[in-house]
Amino acid sequence: MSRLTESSLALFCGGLFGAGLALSGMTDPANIIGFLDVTGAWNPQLVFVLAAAVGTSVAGFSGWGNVPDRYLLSVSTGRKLQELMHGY
Amino acid sequence: MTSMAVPALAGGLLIGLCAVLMMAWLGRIAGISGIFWQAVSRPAFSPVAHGAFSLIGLLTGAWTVHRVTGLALPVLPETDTWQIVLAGLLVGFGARLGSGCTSGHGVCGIGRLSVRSLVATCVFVLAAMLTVFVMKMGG
Repeated sequence: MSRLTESSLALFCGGLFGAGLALSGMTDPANIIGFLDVTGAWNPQLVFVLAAAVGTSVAGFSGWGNVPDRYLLSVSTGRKLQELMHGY
Repeated sequence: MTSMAVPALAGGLLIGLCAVLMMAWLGRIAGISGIFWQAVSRPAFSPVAHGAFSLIGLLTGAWTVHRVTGLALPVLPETDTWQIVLAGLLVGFGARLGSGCTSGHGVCGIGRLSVRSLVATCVFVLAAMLTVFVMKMGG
């Protein structure tokens, strides 16, 4: 994979994350504090965001014993998902 | 309730998609604290510069949605600058010490059903709730 492709993919993935944050209202610190403020006017918005995000990642990661080699960079080729995500 | 649940779910879907695609395409964990660390600890011209590009994408993506939807850009809270700096340092230090933040542990880690990530997420959410409570008490 060329450096241009890698950089473009990284840019695109970052863009998805940023768009998701803004769309879900998570760029506004008031929404985060509202979620953490359990003794005040609790704001459950973050629960919906996390539920959808985790649901998607569980579905996406399920059944990945090995990450398909063709997608991966030389640094990670052939390594198991478990190993790549060490610490997570 | 529904009016905020729909964009929240849609946004969460995009975040989850980012986690899956970043792993599939780049073999990287979509953890923002880790990406930021990588971006600042490696020069942008090094062979591996995904971090910097992901961060540029992150800001551009968020900015675009704000522009397109007309959603107001959040204003900085009226907090002393030193408090914001201190809070940022503590968050950064804690995220490195705990090997991840909300995105790394909360989305990617729990996404692959890691108990360690589940524990980390519960601990930092509870600690943050306690912090908000204490700050409210204090003034």
